[in-house]
Amino acid sequence: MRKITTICFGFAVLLGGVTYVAKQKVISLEEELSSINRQILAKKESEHLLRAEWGHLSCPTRLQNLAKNHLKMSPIEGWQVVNVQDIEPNRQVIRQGSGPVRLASAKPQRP
Amino acid sequence: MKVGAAYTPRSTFQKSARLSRPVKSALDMARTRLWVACFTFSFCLLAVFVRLAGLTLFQGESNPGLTAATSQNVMTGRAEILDRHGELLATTIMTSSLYANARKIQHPEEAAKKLHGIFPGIKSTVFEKRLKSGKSFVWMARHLTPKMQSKVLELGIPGLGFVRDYRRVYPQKNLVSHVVGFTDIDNQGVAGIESSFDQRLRTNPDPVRLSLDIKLQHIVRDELQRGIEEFGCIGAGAVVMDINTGEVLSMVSLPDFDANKPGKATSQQLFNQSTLGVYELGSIMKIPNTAMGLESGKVKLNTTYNTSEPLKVGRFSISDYRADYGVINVAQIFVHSSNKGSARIALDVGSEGQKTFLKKLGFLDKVNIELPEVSSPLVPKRWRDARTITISYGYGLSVSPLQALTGIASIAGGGRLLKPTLLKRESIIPFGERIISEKNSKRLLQLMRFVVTEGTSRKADVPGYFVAGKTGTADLLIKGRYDKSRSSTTFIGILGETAETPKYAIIVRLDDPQRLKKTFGFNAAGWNAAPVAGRIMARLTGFAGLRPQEDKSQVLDPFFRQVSFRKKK
Repeated sequence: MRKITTICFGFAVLLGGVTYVAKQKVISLEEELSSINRQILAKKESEHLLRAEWGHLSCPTRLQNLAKNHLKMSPIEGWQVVNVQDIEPNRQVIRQGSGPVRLASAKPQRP
Repeated sequence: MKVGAAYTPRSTFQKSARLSRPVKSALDMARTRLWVACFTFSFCLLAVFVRLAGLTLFQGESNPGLTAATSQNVMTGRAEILDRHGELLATTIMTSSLYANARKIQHPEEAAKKLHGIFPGIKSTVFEKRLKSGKSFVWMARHLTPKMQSKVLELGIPGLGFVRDYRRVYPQKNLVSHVVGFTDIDNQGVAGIESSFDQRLRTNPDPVRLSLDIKLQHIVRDELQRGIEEFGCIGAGAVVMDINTGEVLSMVSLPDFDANKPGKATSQQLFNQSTLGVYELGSIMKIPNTAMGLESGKVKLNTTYNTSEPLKVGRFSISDYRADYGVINVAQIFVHSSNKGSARIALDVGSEGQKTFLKKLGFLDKVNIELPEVSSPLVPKRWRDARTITISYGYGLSVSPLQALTGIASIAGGGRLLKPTLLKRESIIPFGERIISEKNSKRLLQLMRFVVTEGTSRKADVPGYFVAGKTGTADLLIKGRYDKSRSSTTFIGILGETAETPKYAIIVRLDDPQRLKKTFGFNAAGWNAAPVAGRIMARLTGFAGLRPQEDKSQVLDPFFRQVSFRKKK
C-alpha cells in the first residue's frame, strides 16, 4: 500500500524531472538555433557582398578592357578551330633517352 | 476495492457492522467518487500518452510546424537573378541608412554642415530643413557605405541613428539593364524582370535563372557599340535566340543605362527597343511573304512574274531598289529582293490570306514574353489591296524586333511557332502551332542562304559556317512622312554548323545609319546591319564552340540547281 504510493510519487517526480530537463534542453536548443540562424544570416550577407564584388570583377566588359590593355591575346575565331581528324596523323612526339623532355633553349640551372 | 480498503483500518471495519445506514451510504458514495476520479485521470493520462506516442514515434518528421522553425526561413531580402550559367545579374546586400530624430537635434545648422561634408551630393540646406522638421523620424541618407557610416559615427551628433536595410545591386551595370530592370529605393521591382517577377523574388529565396548568357550579351553589346560608332547611328538593338528552344540568349538595346543608377537615365536610355519599340521591317517581310505564298500552294518556287510591268497603288507606283529584273521566278524575287514581285505574290494570295498568315505568325498580337515593357504591333485598321502590297515588302505593319525574330526563326527553324522566353528552359520545350511545312521551312532557309552567298547580305557571311539571312531597309517615318534620306536598317540571320543544324537566330537593327564614303554613299542594311551581325556571329561561333565545316554548299531542293541568281547584263 505505502509502497505503491511511494512508487507512484517517485514516478511522478521522475516524470517531472524528465519534463523539466527536456524543456530546458529545448530552450537551449532554441537559443542555439536562433544564434545559428543569425550566423547563417550574417554569413549569407557577407556571401552576397562577396558575390556582388565577384560579379563586378568578372563582368565581361571589364575583363575585355583588362585583356586588351595587359594581354596580347584575342578571342578565338572560327578559322582557328579544326577537327582532331584533320590534323596530320604522322607527327609523334619522339623521346630521346630516358630522361625528362627538355626544351632546346632551356639551359640547366647551375647549382 | 483496494482504494476503499486502503483507508479502512481494521478497528473501523469491526465497528462498521454497527454503523448506522446514512454513514454507510456516505462511505459508498465516497468510494464511487474516488473510482470516477481515478478513471477520469487515467483516461486523460492515456490520451496524453497516445498523443505523445503519435507525435514522437509516428509523425515527428513530417510535422510542418517544426521544420518551419529551422534555418529554412532565413531570408536575405530579394532573391538573386542569375544568367543561364549562374553568373550573378542582381543581388541584395546589407547596408545602413541614416535617420534623424529631429526633436533631439540640438544645433541643426551645425549638424547639417557636418553631414554635407560627408555627403557632398546632398545640399546642407536640405539637411537643415529635414533636421528642423520636428519629426521623430526623418531619413537623412540611404544605403551608406561602411566608410560613410564610420564617419557619421565619428561626428557624435546625438539624435542620429542607423537602420540596417537591404539594397539591390547590379554588378553587370549597363550590360543587362533592359532585361533585368531595377527596383525603387524600397526594393520594389519597377522595371524588367524585377517588376514582372516582383512577388516571386520577394517571397521565394531561390534565385531566378534567366535564359540570357552574359558573355554573349557582352559580345553583342560590344559589336553594336562598335557599329554605332562606325556608322554614326542614333541607336541600335539586337536579340539572339536559340532557334531550337525559343530561349532569348541576348537582348541588347543601345543607348542603355546603369541599373544601379536608374534615376540618372534619360527616357531614350530606359527605352527597350527590342520589345517596346515597333518598327517597319522593310524587305525582311519578304521572308513571311514568300513563306505564305509557298504554303498557300498558289505560288511555287519556279512561278514566274514579270517585274517590268508597272504596278500602281492609287497614285503611287511601286518600284524596285535597283534595276529592272524582267521576268523572274519566286526564288529570284526573294534573293534580289524585288518589291514588285513580292507585291504580286501577296496579291495572288489575297488580303484575307495574308492577314490570316500574319496572325498565325504572331505579327498581329502583342508578343508574349516575361517583361512588362512590351508594345502591341501597329496593325492597319483597313486591310485593302494597297495595304497588302505595302505589307508584302515591309511597310504599313510595325512589329517589335523580338516579334520579328520569333516569327522568322519559327519559319526558318522547322515551321512550328516558337515561344520566346527569358527564363532558362529545363527540359520541356513548348511549341505553338505549325505555320509552314518542314519542307517549305527548308526551302526558305535555303533561299536565305542564297541571300548571303549571292544577294544583299554578303557582308554577314562567316567563312566555314552556315549563315543564312535577309536584310531590310525602311525609310524613317518622321512626322507622318517618309524621309528617303534616312533609314532604319535590319538584318535577320540564322547561324549553324550546317544547313541541317541551324542553332541561333539573330536580329540586328540600326537606327539612322549614315551614308559614308566606305559604304559608297549607301545606307542600306547590306552595308551596315549585315556586317555588324556578321561580326557578332563570327565571335559567337568561337564562343559557342561551333566547328567549321568544309562543305556547306549543300543544296536541299533540286530546283536550286537550275536557278541562277547572277544578274543578267
